[in-house]
Amino acid sequence: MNHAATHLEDMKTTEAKTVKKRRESGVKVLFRNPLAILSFLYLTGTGLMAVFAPWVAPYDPNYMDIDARFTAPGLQHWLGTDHLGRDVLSRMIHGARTTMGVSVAVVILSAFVGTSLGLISGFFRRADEIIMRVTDLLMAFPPLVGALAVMAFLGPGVENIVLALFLVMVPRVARITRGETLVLREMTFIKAAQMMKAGTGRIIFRHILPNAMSPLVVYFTLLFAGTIMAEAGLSFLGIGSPPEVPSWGIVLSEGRYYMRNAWWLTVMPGLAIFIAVLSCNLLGDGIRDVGDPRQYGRARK
Amino acid sequence: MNRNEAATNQDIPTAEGTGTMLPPEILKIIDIKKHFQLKGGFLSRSKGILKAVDGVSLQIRKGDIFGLAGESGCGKTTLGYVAGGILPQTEGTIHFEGQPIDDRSGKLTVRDVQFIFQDISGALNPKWMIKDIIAEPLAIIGETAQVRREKTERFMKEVGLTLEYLDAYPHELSGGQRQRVSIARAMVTNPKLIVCDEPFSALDVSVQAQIISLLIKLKRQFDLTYLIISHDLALLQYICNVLAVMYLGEIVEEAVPAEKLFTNPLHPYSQGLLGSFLFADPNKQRIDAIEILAGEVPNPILPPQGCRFHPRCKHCRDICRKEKPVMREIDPGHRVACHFVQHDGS
Repeated sequence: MNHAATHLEDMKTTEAKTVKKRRESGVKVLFRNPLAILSFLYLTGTGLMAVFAPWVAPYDPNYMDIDARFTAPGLQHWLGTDHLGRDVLSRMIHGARTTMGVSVAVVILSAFVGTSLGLISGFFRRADEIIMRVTDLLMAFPPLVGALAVMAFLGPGVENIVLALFLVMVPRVARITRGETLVLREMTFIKAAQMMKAGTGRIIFRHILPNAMSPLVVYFTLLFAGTIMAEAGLSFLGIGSPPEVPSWGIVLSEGRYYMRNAWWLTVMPGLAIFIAVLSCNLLGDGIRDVGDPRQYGRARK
Repeated sequence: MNRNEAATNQDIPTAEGTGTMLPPEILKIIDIKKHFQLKGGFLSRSKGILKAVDGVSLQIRKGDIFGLAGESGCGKTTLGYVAGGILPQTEGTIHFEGQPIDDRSGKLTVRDVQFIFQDISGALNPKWMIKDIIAEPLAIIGETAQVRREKTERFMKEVGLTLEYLDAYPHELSGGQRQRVSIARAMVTNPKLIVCDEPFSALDVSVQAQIISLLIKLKRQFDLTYLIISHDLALLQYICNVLAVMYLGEIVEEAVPAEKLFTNPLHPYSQGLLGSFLFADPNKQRIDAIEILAGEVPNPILPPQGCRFHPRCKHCRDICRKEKPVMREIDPGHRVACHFVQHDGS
């Protein structure tokens, strides 16, 4: 018995050492994924350009150089000029302000409100009935149609886009959070916490939320991608941001009449949107791996 | 509360005539019933009542290792939860340390009762480090960070986990180590009663042995009281001093000391349970001599009239179909609910 005990002790200490060695920070895991790094760089780059647009952009986005209409991409205008002789690169850098700003605002708002609603409705049965009926109502419309209807009602304007997309996105976040909560609240460790007489706040914020978080963060990145698309779509249809505020959707929309002669007017903003959406998805994949402590050890293999 | 006070209560016969002072009661439950309303589908009426626990009385004294045995679905886990003050009972009273606790489940704290679960991996939050998991009951009752750390480290050592595991996550531990974490979490508040719901059944046999020795060691060291719910009679025989056998929401036989039930099982169901169970010693029992309990456990929504065991009982007579047998003390400390068991044990 004594011998066995010491042997057991030995095994434990060696095992413990390997536990320590195996542990890595989540950031390291994320940045071992090259696609995640590229996506992260693209998105932060775009974000920084958007923030510092007036200093970064080579021209005033609304300055019309009529003599230089439809200039192909070159040294003077890196991404060419449009039908009014405006610099496409400058317009896109300023457009990133609208597009990214709207997306960030929508994602933060709907993440905060949607997660709270989802947790409440997953945890309290009474509230669930009410909240879920409201989300049913909001989700009865296809996303873009719902946003269109709200925009038609409110009129164009950046704040209105945020509000419209928020109303479209929030029930989806609430739904997913509720689903996660319903699954988690049946887990033994939640029951264990209840048996230890842990308060509801403790159970929700310390037990359910951290476990619901990794699928949610992944969903938020998809939401970000969806919002970029939706904003571009609304602007393209002419009921998004007003014409004097450039956005990727506006640039794309204005260029579509000249697609055959001036390909850069549509291809460049289209590419920007495409890469941004792709980056969000790839970054989401990376974050998913980090959110799960079980992945810390495995990623190296 | 001493033995005499307990003995005056007619609801629960005690081990009379042993002549020694019995330790104080930790938990006494009297005629507990726990019924679940079965809900039908949308707009339909209730489908019936599931009587998971139907009139159970028992008492657990300080220092007891109380074993609760029975087949799956007999209500032993439900009884454990009701006894631990987690599920409110439908009827009956529960006394904890001599004081009745109300239907409100919030009255007992982690200082009174703690639980250990069968679902070893599921019982630990996968996103938490071991140190936070063990310290959680202390955090709930508002201990300071310093006390939490000291106690966590102390009990990690007590359950045989080295401190390297403080920052580990549950998935980095083996099954046995996870159960040690659960045990440390249950002990860290020094509770008066620990309810273990099938604590061994998810473990390998070799690890089971380690965990059992650990529970016994800790019991001696901290003067603990256990209620162990299990279907494994061999384990219960090894560790328990009191054993109760449950069948369809009722206790059919109870023995203090537990050994009485193994040497002389009185209820036909206990006999069947013991008979269907293989002992390590082939001389004690031969495999071709095993008498297997006939039939299935009846539907607990519609339990049989009279003695609940009668459809499966080989001694069944008319009275068993009509009249429900009451618990009788056959010999000191050994009680059974059967019409035909005589005082000589036949």
